[in-house]
Amino acid sequence: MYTQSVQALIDELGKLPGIGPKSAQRVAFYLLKIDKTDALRLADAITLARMNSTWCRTCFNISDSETCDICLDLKRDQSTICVVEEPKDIVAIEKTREYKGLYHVLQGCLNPMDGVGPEQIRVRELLTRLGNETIKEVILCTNPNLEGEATAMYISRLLASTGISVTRIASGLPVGGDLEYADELTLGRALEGRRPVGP
Amino acid sequence: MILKWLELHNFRNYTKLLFEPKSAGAVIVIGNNGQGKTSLLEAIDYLSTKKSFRGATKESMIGYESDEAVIRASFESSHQREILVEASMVRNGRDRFLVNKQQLSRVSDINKVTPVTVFAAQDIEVVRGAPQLRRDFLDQCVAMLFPRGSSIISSVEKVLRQRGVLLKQTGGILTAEVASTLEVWDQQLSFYASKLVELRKELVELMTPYVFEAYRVVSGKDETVSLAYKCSWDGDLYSELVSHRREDLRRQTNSIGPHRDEVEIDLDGHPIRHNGSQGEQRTAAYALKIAFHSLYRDRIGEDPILLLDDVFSELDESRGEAILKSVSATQTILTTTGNIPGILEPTMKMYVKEGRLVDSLG
Ligand SMILES: [Zn+2]
Repeated sequence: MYTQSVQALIDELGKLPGIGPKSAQRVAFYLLKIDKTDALRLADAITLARMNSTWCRTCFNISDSETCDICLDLKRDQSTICVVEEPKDIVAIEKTREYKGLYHVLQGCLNPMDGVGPEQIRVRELLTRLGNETIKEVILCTNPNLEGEATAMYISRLLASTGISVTRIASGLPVGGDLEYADELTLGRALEGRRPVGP
Repeated sequence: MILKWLELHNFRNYTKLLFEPKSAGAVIVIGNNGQGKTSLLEAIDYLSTKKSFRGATKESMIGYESDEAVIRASFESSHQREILVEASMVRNGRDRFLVNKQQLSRVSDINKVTPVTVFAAQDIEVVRGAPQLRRDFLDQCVAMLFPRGSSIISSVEKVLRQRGVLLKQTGGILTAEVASTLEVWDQQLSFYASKLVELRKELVELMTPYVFEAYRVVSGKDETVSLAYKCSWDGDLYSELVSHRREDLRRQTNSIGPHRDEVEIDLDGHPIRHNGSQGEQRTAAYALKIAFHSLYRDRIGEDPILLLDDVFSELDESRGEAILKSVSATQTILTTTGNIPGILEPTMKMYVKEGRLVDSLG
């Protein structure tokens, strides 16, 4: 139906996450209408990002060198590691400016249905790190869903005998949200994780 | 709660329909089988549950040769509040569900806005069928009655699926590594399952006096119906899961948990599923429905709309009348092929033929 090159483009787009055959077609036709220079710029951006990016050897964040900027930054607290599922979680935490320690990216979470067990995430690498570095606290910052909780539980059990303090982020209510509209599980969890109020 | 009007577009065999019960009272929809009586009730119930009480897929509810079915209706609560509900099912796309033009996605919320109770001839299966059907009935009630119910139910289902897949992946042998991964899912399962069982047991306790009373009224006999929740394990679920690991790995299945529990329904101390007659089983099934209807009504302070799908053809006159007397409903919509109990004084009578409503069959 389409020319070979257009069909190839649709096929490639269709492999992207969250893009079905219909969206792939729509994006492909959009791309055929843009300026040729814009098309080249997009192609270059993809190529450059892919070619210049690698995983940080220490924390498995996205990096353009063997060690990422965060791991290289000696002003950061070298005794705390925050464990997250994906690099995008680092971006979210960095935006808060509340955290000054190091990170470790698991690149996934335990999810048997997706074929992901402990070997498929960077747990072993985390253990190696904890053996080599002097870490006092590990903060488990995986998602507050079933799989994230299971992953946090798994890691906390592995670290139970190491003497390292292991903490889990509290899951609670979004700020600015209305109590009435919070879903029951969130509200329940927030109640379980309640704290005394000062002074 | 009453239904003022209902509009259907390409819903099953209704290409276009306007149904206007308008006021409180009983509306009778008469027609032969296969004309669309049940589909009408199915559409009304969809606006309360976002699913088909016949267990149909959305594809089968979308009209033949159409890509989208639309159900629109206006309800009026006992406080004279108007509620406009608009639902659409799209064959290859996202369904929509709007209440007063606002998105509402959680079923537990929808239920409270437009409560509906359906009685259908196949309800008897809840009493005489497989344990799964009784668990499903309980969970439907749990999701409606308890605010945390539906999220706990879906967490349990998800953990069971994850644990089930994990059991298959491990190759059947309990190594230290397998044990450490199973560990976290056992923890999660025991956490959510214990909560679910707590809710199910609370529901059974709440319903028991209602069921007891409803059964006596409908049967007209001095017999005692009782409910008993039977757990598939004793004591602490987590330690039971740990001791079942070897067996679970060998059989590659979750052998204990809330998905293996049973609610036993007894008549004078004997399980009605095995020992009851068909009449007793049917009466018990409606007693369960009446019980939850009353319980839910007391909880939300509103009469759910009562939909009766060809209920009277399988019941003798006195039982049919007793059901009508024991269910508190401001509005009842019932379908029949002909016979209805004598005490029923309908405010409106409609005939349905080949997906159209008419005033007479003429
Ligand atoms: Zn790094």
